[in-house]
Amino acid sequence: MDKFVCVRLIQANALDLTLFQFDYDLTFVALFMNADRTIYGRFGSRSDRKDAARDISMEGFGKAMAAALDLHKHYPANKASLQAKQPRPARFKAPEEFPSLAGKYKPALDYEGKVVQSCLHCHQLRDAERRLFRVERKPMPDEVLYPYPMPDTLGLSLDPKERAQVKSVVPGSAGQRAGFKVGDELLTLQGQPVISIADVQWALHNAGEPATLHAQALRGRKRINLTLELAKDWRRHSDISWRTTTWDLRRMAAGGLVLEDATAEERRQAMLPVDALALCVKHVGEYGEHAVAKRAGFKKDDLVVSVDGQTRRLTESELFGYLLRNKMPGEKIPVTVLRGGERVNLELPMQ
Amino acid sequence: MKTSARAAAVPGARNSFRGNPLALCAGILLLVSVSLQAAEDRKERVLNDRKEVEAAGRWIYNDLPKGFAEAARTRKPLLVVIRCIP
Repeated sequence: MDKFVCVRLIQANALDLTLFQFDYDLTFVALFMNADRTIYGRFGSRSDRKDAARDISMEGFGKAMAAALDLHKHYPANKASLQAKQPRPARFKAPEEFPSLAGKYKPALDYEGKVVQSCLHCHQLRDAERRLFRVERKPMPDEVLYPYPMPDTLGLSLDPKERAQVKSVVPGSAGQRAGFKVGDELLTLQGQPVISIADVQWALHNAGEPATLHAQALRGRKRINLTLELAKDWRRHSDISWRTTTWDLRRMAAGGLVLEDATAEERRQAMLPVDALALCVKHVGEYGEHAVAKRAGFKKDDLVVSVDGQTRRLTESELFGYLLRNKMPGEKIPVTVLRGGERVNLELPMQ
Repeated sequence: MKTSARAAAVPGARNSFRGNPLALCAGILLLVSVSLQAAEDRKERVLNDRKEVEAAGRWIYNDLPKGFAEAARTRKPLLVVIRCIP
């Protein structure tokens, strides 16, 4: 630790968005950088709502720190290789410039008054960005809906105790087609030196749709080159159900419903095939704009089997993507649910 | 604040009070009391966090310009941690 100048930030108030670009659903994130604001790398990953530490470890953090020190040692000779790790142009320079946040927060915490309430949370940045698309009545892009995809989206699970080492490869996935094997240590992605799983997520977040990504990995003592081919809709396989910001998507696209893909047993009981839409209503919002579905007649334990004529199997994350790309606030979407064995037709208002 | 509101939206919390005004009032009072206590706890955590981290002396607390100046002076890299106080 004493090899770094350590800075702790605890809120997003007045956060410089031209510098601090990371996964805003995280509650812990680290950025390694030079005094001239050049980013060496990022650390912090998450894919589970309850277990915030599933995808990180002290061992992994230590290895990322060592790698960041190594990059610093070779700086600025390696500056060109770090170029793609730098922040992208930002529409707003600070959170308070987002229309839905403007005037609500001060640049610093109010330690003498209501300090908790004066705190602007990182997840509010993503909420504010998404609200803008709805207010401007624009389709929500996939990179906004499915930010910072985990490498699991490509069928590659990385070991949180390492920098970026492959722990498992899903058969038939983009990762397997690229030739990745268990134990491969990802060294670079798109030419960017990788020091953590978060660095892989950064490269994926900024990748195109479709995209060809070039990777270099260490297999044993040998450096190998691999090519990942990503399909046009590759981001849509991301599971965003764990994210705090998905709560607001549930308001926009589902009127406050929480939906879960039906289990095999629930499908069997409802006599629905494995490839059919079957989303179980796990929660119906009770208040304000989160009670829109309740007021439209939806009930807990309803089984959603058709949305806007769509009857193919979708996860909640995929359904939100379909609705937020194609349906604007004010539209009412025909939905069919199974309730007590009966088919019930309802209308779900978009927000 | 937003996270707390989300956490408070517990499925089925209101149904058990339906049709019983006294129970509903008691429930609301309980919820208000729990929420106030939670807010107070969180305030304590925020205030204590600053005290403890500053006392430890290892971290520059919530002062990024100072961090950049120190990094330039010492030629060390910066480690900036953004950590929400739960």
